[in-house]
Amino acid sequence: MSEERPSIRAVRVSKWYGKVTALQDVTLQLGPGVWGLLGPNGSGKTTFMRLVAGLAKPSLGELRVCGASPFANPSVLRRVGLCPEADALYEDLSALEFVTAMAELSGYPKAEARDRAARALTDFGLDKAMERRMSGYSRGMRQRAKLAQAVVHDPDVLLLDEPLTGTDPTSRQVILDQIDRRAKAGAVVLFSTHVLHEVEALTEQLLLIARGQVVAQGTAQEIRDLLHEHPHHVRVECDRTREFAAAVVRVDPGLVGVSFPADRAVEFETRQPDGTYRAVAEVLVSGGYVLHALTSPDATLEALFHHLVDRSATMAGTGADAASGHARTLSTRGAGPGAARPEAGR
Amino acid sequence: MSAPPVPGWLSGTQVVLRLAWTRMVRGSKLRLGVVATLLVVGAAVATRYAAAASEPAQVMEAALRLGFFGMLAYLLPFLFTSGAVAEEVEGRTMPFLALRPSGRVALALGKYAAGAGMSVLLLWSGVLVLHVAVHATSPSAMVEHAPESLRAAGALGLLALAYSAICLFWGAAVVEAGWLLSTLHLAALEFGLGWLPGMLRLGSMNYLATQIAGLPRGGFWPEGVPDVDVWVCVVVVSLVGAVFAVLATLVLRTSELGLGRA
Repeated sequence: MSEERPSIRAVRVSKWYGKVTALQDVTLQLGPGVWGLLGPNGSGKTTFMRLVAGLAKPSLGELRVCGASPFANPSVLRRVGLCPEADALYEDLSALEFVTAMAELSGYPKAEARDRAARALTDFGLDKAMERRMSGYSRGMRQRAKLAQAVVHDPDVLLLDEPLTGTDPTSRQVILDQIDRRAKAGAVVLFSTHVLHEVEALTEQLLLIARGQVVAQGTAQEIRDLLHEHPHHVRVECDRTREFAAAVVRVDPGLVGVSFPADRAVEFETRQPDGTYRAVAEVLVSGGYVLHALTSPDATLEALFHHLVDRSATMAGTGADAASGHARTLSTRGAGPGAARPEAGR
Repeated sequence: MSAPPVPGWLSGTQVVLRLAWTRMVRGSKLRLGVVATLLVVGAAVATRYAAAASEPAQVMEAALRLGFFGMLAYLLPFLFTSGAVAEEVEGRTMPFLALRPSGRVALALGKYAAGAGMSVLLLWSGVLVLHVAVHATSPSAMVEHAPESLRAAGALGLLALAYSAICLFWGAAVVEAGWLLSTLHLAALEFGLGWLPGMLRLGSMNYLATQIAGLPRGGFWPEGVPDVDVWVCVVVVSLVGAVFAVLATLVLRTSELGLGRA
């Protein structure tokens, strides 16, 4: 019996909880490889993962995983693995008991399930701790136990909801290596995060989700370019703020605004953040200012998401792309047969 | 990558049962259930030996009516099954089970089997200890009254199966308020109806179970309650249990189990 190729296909999928819209008109198609799903907290990443994992049903639209609807569908679910975001485990079980039970529930006989569980836990560096109860695990160990249960049955579709949360650098590397290995074996790996650099080591295929919409798609570099494109604030806390601000304004032509949100703070609005950072550094050094803090309240993906959503809302009346809830493709570079294909608008 | 074959519901049920059983044995609920059972048995045994004039058979009957049918038969299934689904949802561990290909039928049946099994085990152990302790001074009476105790144990087991199904159903249907609705159901429909006169009393599975156990009728105006054959009582209690177990399974099969919320 030939099996449907691993894939996730969403056509105008929406999901709402009462009056709250969690996902709005999402259309995409993902094939084998690692896909980064980036979005701030509350943007709809977890909801999308739950829909793909067959834990919830779309309120509207059509969702297909490996060619079939995933909700409570065993023939699809045997090919899906999920590492949920929540730091929740069966505290009174050992990792080996837990992952063995999950393997058995995936269809393996007990002895094989135990072997697979031990192997998966070893792969994630829990070989020495697998017989201990998980209540005594550190956050990173718990995360790795969750990942082990997600991959114990070699899923074709692997859903990882913020898998690097709370992990140390060593754990991160182990986890990233395992994800990479699964993707190379032909799985669709959907990796959600709100931290760009977490995912860029793994993939160039990124989807940006905000307020329930896929607002953009592209490579990490294109996301960075977008970050730099949108108006950007640089906040400096130092002594003699007004004198300092005047000096920066003189040397930085990229500034579009200056404000003083507090007594000893100045905030620059710029369209060329690199130039502004350079100017700020030069003036600080040459003027001998005492620097207390240098921050950028919006040099984050979250700010970018809000910018994209706001922009799409502004463009809604013009029939522009993202306002419809469909992805705005930044690039099709490197798009192979497995590429995300945001479909045409309404 | 080769996905494993879809597991059968029976093997899935066994795994969920084992998982739930292990967690129950290691958790605090079992200790609470054991303490409650020991208190009932202890109180009955103390009464038996503290009051010189007390008849073993009378003590046994009172302990079964008040302690077992009046308390433990409600408490133990409620303790082990009403929160079986809610705890997974609130503990955010439900995704681990619900996305497995063993299916949600296995999830429902495994949870039911674990909760009902533990309730029945404690009830039967309690009846056994009570029987032995009450008749300890007279081995012949112990043997002579064994059939009555066995009958009571059977009735309690059947009742525990029905109550476990009822509690599981409410816990699955309304995850946030399963405890409350189970309590209301058991209090109003089971305990409440069990005291009422006439036909109304037949709506209480608890009353029917006491008839299976062969206990004399209590409550208000007992002579006004129509006579019902024991086999009818057995069928009705079994059917009610089966219907609620099927309903609980259907709810778990089709519901988003609290995962369809933000």
